Amino acid sequence: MSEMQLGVHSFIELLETIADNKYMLGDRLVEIGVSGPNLEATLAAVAMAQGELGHARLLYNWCFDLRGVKGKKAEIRGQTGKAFRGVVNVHNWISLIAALYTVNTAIHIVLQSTLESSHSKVASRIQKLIREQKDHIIYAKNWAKQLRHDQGAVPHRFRESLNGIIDEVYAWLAKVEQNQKLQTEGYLPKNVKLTEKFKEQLKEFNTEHLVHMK
Amino acid sequence: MEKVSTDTQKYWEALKEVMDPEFPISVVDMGLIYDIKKNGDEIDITMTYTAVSCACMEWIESDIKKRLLEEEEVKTVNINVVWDPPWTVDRLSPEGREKLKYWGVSAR
Repeated sequence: MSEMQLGVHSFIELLETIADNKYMLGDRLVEIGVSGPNLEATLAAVAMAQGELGHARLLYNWCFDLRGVKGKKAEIRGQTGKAFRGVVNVHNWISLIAALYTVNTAIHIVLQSTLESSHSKVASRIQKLIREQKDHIIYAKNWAKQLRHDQGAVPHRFRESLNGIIDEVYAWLAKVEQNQKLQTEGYLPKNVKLTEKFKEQLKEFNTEHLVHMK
Repeated sequence: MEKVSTDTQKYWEALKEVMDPEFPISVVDMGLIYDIKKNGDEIDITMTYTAVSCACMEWIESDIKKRLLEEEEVKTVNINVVWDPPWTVDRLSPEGREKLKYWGVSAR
């Protein structure tokens, strides 16, 4: 396999990981979101579910194109197995918000970096997705702040959920950042600082795991 | 709407008959159509959608093809969906804006 093919293969794997997580976030936003803490939260969760599933569809279709699949695209009936454990295991509102916030923040950092790619068609694929995703992050971040300052056991449980998923997300970003094929083939800029940006974004939550990450 | 060349004007007009399935506003007035090019008996449409998660994509594309294929000289319609520049309400035509207002939908 040539270097270029290896680069495309790595990029497809990156896109599929993002798509799988968005597919599962969409699924969890429907399953958990319908019993959100209030009507507004529930309506927003269901609307965002459609958004996340739409983002997943766009990314899966992009993968089909990169693989040279012609004609009508296959229907997506499930994720390809690359979704984070912390997303698949979302089981309540607190873990949903922790996953939605951390995973979309990480995805946003990666996709923003791909906009600096030397591949001209990247922007035309994801510009709208990035814009829509920002709204999801703002929503999740505001809920994260609310849960952090809530009463009783909620802040502690939220911190646990955040700590539970941060390691996995951070490890993925570190792996992507160290993938030389993505950089040499121009899918990501040289010496891209994904983990650094992620820590910066989540600094205000100052979770134990984030603090200990080197 | 961009300035259109005279040889594609009739196709822009034709697409004003293709309605968004969610609102009775044409895909042209919604600002979904970015470009129309004619190449022999083929028409190339460059378009976008209001949201990546639009549930009506196949429906709209099918309606666009069906309408353009009603033109005698058109044998093939190719649709290229792009997401840059992203759609915003600024792409609505004044007519589209008025119709949304009539239906009680904010277009600011």
